[in-house]
Amino acid sequence: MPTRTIDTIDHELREIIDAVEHAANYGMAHRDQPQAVERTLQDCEELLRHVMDASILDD
Amino acid sequence: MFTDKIDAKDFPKMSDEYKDLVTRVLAIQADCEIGGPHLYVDKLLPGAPDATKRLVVARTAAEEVDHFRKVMDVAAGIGLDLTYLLRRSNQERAVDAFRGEIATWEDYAVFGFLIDRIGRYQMEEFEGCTYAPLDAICPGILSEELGHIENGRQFTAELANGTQDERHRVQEAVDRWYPKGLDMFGHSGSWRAERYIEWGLKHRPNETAREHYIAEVNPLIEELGLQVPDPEANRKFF
Repeated sequence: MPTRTIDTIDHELREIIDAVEHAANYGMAHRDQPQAVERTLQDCEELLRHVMDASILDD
Repeated sequence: MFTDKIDAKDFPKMSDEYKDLVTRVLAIQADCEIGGPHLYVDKLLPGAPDATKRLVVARTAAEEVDHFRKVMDVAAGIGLDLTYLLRRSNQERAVDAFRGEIATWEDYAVFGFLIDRIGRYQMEEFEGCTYAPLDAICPGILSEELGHIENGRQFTAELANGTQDERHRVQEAVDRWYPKGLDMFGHSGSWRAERYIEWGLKHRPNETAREHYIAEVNPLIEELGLQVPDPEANRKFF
């Protein structure tokens, strides 16, 4: 069962969404730098994992 | 037909039927929003054909999560906690199209082209609806869904114009998703759809929305040089 408030989850979802969108935009702008894009994609995967595995609901 | 605008503070005064319908539609909408990323992030964020497409997958997933968050917040306004949907497995999703997994690029492309388009239809139903907090989140979600649909159309077009194998695979994906998409509109002559319309929560009966979708999407499929599947094949709801 969720132990966090909806407000807290909302706040953390916003942070993750903003970070992924920022990272994706950065990656798009640096498409000529494969290593930078790869790091960006790894960041996106790590951020989204908190939503996909629902660990965002855990304390 | 009911036309008043209802805010969260007025919600408790509404009839049980109105409350049930709003509660139901918020839960289904949130489930579909978060169900999308659960279909494709695992396989396509690392596995899309190139880095640019992987970035598109990441940004699309983030936007869909944001749509979920917005619907979750509307639900929270009436005391409904939808955070449990974050833990729901794909097999438990409310709508059949969101059960399973998208593991290939052609399925991702066609999902955007055909299924995100139905997401647009669904949000258009809520535009101007009597539950004001739901109406208020429609423009932002719709504008991002339009981007997802166009990405899907472009990726589908690339595959349709690609090698013979790509063309074959994307046609198979269209054949898979087209009937799922038509089923997403629900049963024709649905009693519940009529109640949604009566309470000003939706505009069109299921069969009308489905007909509009077919009229829009069939020419788009043909424009790409692909075959429109038999609209009655592999269907669950008519």
